[in-house]
Amino acid sequence: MDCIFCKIVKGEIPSKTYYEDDLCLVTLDIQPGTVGHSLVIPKKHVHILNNDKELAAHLFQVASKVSKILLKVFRSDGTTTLLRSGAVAGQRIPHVSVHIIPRKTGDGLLQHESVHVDTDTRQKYASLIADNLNTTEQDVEHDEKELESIVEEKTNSNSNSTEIDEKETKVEAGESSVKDDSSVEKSGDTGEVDLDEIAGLFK
Amino acid sequence: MTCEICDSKKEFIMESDHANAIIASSAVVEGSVVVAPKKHVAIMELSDDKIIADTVSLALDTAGKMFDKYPVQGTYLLVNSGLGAGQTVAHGHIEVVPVHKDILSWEPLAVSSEQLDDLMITLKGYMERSGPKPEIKKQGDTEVVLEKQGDNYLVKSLRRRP
Repeated sequence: MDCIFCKIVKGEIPSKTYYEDDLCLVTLDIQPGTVGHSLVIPKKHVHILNNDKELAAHLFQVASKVSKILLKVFRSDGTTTLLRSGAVAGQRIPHVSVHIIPRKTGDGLLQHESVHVDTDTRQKYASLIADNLNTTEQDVEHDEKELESIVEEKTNSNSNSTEIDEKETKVEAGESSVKDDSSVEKSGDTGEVDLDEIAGLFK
Repeated sequence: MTCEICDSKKEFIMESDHANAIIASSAVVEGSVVVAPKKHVAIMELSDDKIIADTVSLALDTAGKMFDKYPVQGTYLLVNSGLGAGQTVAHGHIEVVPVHKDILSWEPLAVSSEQLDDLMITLKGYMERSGPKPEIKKQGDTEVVLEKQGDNYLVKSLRRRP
């Protein structure tokens, strides 16, 4: 199978793997968003995680462990853990990977605008996926059609300003153009940061 | 203690043993769902393995429903931990995002192979010292991930600090 992650798992191509167990390995992304950006990759070739909850649990348990260590090693202000499912969500390799990205305040990474969702709209989405709401099939059908029209409208309004992302054709673990960043930290910087300190910012 | 998620019980749309789901009122994409452990933790990393497993399971159920019921063909499972990562709610959670177009991307940093090698050695040392690996028990053809007993030494050491 011509899967770059399967080749990494089999050791057929070099990687920067620093953790391995029976189910997964953790390697440094060679196209990192920030220094320390890591990938948790299952050894089994799995395209989408939804039907394998035991594996999913294990990958996120390992990701949590990695996140704790990245917070300490890089004195980060936080971490982002991200699982992309589907090509439209930027999954470029049909083999699951969980990203763990050390973050700094104001790093400009993964920027996006948040939208406020009013109560009526939340109720419409809830009626589609809730386990415990009393909705009729007609209600659901009506809400589905309404949502489709909203999404279609938004997609059309965005499409004129959308440029084709050439990066989509490149694999995450392959070569690519990279931005120069003189602020790359030395890997030997192992200053301590408390998890409680990160969590305590909310108290 | 006031917590936006703990105080939203009437709006919970799905539930598992250890987690609840709620439609996000402020989100990356409209229709996003916040899946949060029932036990209040400021960041997800402070949850134990059992709770992480259960929260991920509910998040995957939610993502599955989005594929079925929303007009989307992709999802993110997103965990922002810490203000620096953009966490805005003081209750650790997984955000399940319906994706119409990839909006979470980054420009790759220039990092040399030597820097990555140094980093790999450093992180390998930390991982080896961070306690036992999640235990995996074979049951016939299936593998079950068992809950570890207690926290790892990093968290315990933090609790011992004055």
